[in-house]
Amino acid sequence: MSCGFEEEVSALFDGELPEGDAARVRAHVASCASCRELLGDFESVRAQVRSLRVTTSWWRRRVSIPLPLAAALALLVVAAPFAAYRRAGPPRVAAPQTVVRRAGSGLLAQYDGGGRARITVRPKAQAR
Amino acid sequence: MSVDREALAVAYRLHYPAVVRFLAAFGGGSVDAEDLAQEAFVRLGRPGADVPADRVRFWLIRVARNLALNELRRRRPAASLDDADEIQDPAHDPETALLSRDALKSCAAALQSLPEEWRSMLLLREIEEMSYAEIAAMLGVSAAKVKSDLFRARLRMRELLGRKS
Repeated sequence: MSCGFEEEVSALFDGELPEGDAARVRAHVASCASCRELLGDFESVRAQVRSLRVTTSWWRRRVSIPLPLAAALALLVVAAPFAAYRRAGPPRVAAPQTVVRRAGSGLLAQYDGGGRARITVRPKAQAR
Repeated sequence: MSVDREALAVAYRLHYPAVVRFLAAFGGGSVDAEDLAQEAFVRLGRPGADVPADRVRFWLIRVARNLALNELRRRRPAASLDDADEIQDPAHDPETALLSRDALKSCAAALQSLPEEWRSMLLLREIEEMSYAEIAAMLGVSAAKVKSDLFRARLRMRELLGRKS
């Protein structure tokens, strides 16, 4: 059954009534179970409508990249490893390498692959 | 005179989410909210779009709504609401944690069944939190009509969702 206040209750709910009218409607609501129920229903509708706020999933979010730029980027991603391989050649394996040189009588210089030298002194007979 | 690039960038940062949010709820999955939002910003940047700074958000939403209306008229019937990705996972939002995904879909369907103007008013009020005067200015109607139609829209939603939804 209508009490005639329903539309005013909606406006009260929105905070759109002038203070004098708001006080009058609030007083009515306090004594009207139907209007209190209506307010609860409006609150429920509001909560459900607000629940429809959309999230844009990251995988659906589109980034606008001009087509030529997108093509160039794709090419870069595919071609970069090949270009790097061609420039550098096959990967080097740091094989240990020792070069022994006679550095005068009794002196042996052992060079490893990294260019470091280890000098040892040995008896003349052994050095040969 | 048009909105300069810097102002446009600021407007984009401030208002893009709100415009997308409005469009997504308004279109209910029948329009591409992000595309239309971007179109609204493109129009904002066009020469002649002289929009006062304090009206930019309203201007954008009004333009976006008109774009969506055109799109909806062109693409009837509305797409289904089965596109679950368009609806926020309630588990991520405490406000709606108690609402099931089905309830959200029901709400979206109920909203789509409202007359377009009621739907606009309800979204502008409940989601964008605009005043009656702002809604009236945006839709070109009186504040008294906003008050009356919002009340009717709520009653219809209550009826569609079930009184104790």
